Amino acid sequence: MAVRSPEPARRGSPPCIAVAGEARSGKSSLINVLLGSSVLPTGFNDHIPLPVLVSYASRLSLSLELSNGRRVPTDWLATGLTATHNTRRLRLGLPIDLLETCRLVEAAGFATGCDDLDRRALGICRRAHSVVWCTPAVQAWKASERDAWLMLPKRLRERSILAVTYKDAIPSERDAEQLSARLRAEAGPYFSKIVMIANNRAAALGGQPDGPNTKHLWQASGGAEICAAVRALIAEARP
Amino acid sequence: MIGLDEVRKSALDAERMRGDSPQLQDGAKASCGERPFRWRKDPIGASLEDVRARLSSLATKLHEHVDEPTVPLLHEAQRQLEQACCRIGVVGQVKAGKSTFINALVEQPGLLPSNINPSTAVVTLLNFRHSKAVPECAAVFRLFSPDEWQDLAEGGGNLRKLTERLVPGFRPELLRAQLEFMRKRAERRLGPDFHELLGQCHCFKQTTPELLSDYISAGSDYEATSTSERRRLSDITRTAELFFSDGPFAFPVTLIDTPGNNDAFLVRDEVTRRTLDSPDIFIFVLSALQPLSAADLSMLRLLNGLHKDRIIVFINRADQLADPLGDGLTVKSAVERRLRLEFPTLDIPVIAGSSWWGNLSLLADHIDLRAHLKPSDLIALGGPNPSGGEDRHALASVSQLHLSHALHESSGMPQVAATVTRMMGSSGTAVLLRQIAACFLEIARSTAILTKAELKSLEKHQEVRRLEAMTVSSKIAEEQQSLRLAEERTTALQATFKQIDAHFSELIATGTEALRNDLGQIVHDFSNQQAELVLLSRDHRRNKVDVMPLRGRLEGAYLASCGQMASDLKCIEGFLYPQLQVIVGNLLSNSPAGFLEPPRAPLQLLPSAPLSVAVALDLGEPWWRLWFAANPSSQQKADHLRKLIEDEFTPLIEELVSLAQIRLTERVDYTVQRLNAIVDGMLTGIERRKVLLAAEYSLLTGDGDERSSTKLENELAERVHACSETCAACALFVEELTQIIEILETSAAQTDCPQPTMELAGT
Repeated sequence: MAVRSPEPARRGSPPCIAVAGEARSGKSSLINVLLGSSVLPTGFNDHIPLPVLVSYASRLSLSLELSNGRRVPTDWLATGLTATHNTRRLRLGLPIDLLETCRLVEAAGFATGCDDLDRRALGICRRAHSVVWCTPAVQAWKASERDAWLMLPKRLRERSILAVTYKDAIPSERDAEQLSARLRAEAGPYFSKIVMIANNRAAALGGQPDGPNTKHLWQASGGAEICAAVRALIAEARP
Repeated sequence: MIGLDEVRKSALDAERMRGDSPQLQDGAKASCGERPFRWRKDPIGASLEDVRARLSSLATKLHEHVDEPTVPLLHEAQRQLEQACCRIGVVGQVKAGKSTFINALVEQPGLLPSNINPSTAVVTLLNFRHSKAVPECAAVFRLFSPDEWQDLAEGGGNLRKLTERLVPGFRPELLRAQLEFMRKRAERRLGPDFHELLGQCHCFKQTTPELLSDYISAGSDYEATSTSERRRLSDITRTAELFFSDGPFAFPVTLIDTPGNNDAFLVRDEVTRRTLDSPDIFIFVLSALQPLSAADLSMLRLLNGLHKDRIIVFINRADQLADPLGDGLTVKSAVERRLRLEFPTLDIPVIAGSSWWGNLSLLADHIDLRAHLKPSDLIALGGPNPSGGEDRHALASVSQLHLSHALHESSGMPQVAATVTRMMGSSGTAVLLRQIAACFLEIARSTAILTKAELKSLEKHQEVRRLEAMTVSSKIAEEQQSLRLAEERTTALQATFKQIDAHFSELIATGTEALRNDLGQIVHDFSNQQAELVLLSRDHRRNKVDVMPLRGRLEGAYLASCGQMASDLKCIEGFLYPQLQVIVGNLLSNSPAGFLEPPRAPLQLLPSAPLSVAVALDLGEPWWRLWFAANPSSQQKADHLRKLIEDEFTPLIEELVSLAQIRLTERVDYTVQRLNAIVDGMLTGIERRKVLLAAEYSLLTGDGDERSSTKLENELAERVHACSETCAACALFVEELTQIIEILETSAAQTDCPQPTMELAGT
């Protein structure tokens, strides 16, 4: 099987971190947490079946990249934002510091039942420097997720994070312990780190807050931990 | 938000406080009427149960009036009536909330254990037999036999066999590690000599939560320390069966709780696949958070192959959506759209709700519901707010009773109950009842006709007795002659039936042979085509070979071919019956219309269950990657693939063919059995009259005396009396049976026509 090497780091092009997972696993809101601002739509009906590449730009811009490389300015509400043979991905440019050190890409499409989408998502993860795999806490780490993950190159395992999303849906502290014990046993060997995060709450806080009260919330939501973990990945990638 | 664990605990505490034992299912304790929160008006399957009870009492009544040859037919029907039971399988992905759903549906919060990690490790049968008697055993757990354990724990069971067939000589590391883990765990939990437990069957008089958790629950084996001293036997438990004398069902029902599919723990995933073929109705539980993923769809495709129109989709966990009612509707319509796209010919009812709410609503007596709900849910459930906006005071005034009612309505449980009742009306069970009713009708009619004929001749006989001896003698001779003739014709008829039977068998034999060839050809073509693709393809990134289209083609051909055979049989029956009517009409004057009509009951749909058996080609992509790696050249790949497809599907074809053969033979046997019963009844009647006539004759020839003459007189009178009673009774039976069949047909028709789409519970 042909495995492509990671996308050649062009001069000045920061490492790419893919945020992947099955549908509705909290990918978009996790990216929002990392960006510290709710730029990606996360509403119930806002699912966009296209990869989204988020990179640095001096001002906010959103465009649709076609297969031939041409970029067409667009907006989130535009129709026709679907994976077809002539659309490649959405490109979101933002003036955010973090993006000067990395690029984030949302890899939509695992277990969607649409082969083309699934293949694209696999391709994105294969080419990425590392992956943040999102799995929702109440149905965490299913066989289909594991199978998809095992399809990816082994090198990713030591520099990827398993993000257990919707942490707030876990009923009790004891349940959380049991869940993480199982995940450590079943998924631990495939990731460098497992982080639990209440992605919606963390996203609502809008990035690292200053006040003592909100700071506590930010810690409790797991937002602080995921941001630190991703920064560590970036630091590793940049000698 | 509080967890179900807590809810369960408080439920149990509440029970204990009332001074009851923690036994949850005791029928003697909680009769329906005493339960405070029992919203359902009609128990599930009430109409079908009514029919069953009526048929059962009719069988007893019929018994008094029928002739000897018909009795076995009645006994068989009565046995079937007693054993009739609707099996409802609850399936879905791991952690979709299947056990919690069952707890809410049967209105026993906390019955089946649940946990944040996949919890149900054992297929659990919940039997609601609807007998008032408290069952002798409340819980029966069967442990693996030493052989089964050996096969599973040492060998890896079916999964390992499939792997072996796909990639010979390879043992997946993952499976090996998991099996090792399971063996060690069993040893740790049960001691090194746990092998001695294998093959045992454990029965208990009471079901307790602790007991269920010991035998069913996978347990939190990842915890460093064990919290209890109890032995956990779930690793070595094969099946769990629970018996209830109380429950929401009127008709006997067996609910089947299954471990979820798509479980990362491969051994559990395998347990489920084995249980998929038997249920009459499937309730497919989805999570509203990730509805209809690829794993769901592939499981639905399998079910679809099994039971065309007996699937209910329940979207669980609506309570976890940001806007439970609004988003719930969105999910519901998205799921409906997708299902229509995937299965255009099916009408699958979709119900959205929350098992958690269902359980909560049942606990209104014991806990403060408001404390367990999000403010947004309170607003949604609290109903229209007169003051508008999120007025805290207005919310606080929402009464506990109102809230628990709203929770129940929005949980989706009432809608599930209604849908299950509706589906039972056309399930295999209903078809069985209709067949039994039709059979009884036939028996009642033929009994009525034969008895009428006998009555007529007896009356004639009595009349003749008053005439002179000479005339009597000649009349008797005449009657004897006509009886002999009737007997000859009836025996000839019997021989004809034997020929018909042989003809039917031949038809089935040729039909199934053709079916075998057709299906074999389809597999052959498919394997060639796939092998070609491998040879031609330059694309090495193919992930796997999908055999779902092959299953589809096989199912199509199978159903079409069986349909053809069934209609051939029907055609012969349609030709046969009028002829029989003429013959029987000659034998018995005044046979009414409707007697000896071809069976109207449609042939039950032939199940294509074997097609859902997992084959090596169904293994996931990681396995296929091994396969691609194991066969270096394209030619090798193509050859192996061709052989693999043929080897895997040939046994399935054999199973399909023998299934078809069994079902069709059953149908033919049923027809022949009915016909034989009628002819045998006729012969018995003739025999009886011959005996009477012989007695009369011996009287005439002077062998008898006055006493025997009186005796004969009395016998005649008795017989006349019995015959008129039977005639009257049969007329009533016919009336009631016609009514019952009408009821069954109406309820079956209701299911067939598309239902108005149900709105989300509570909106």
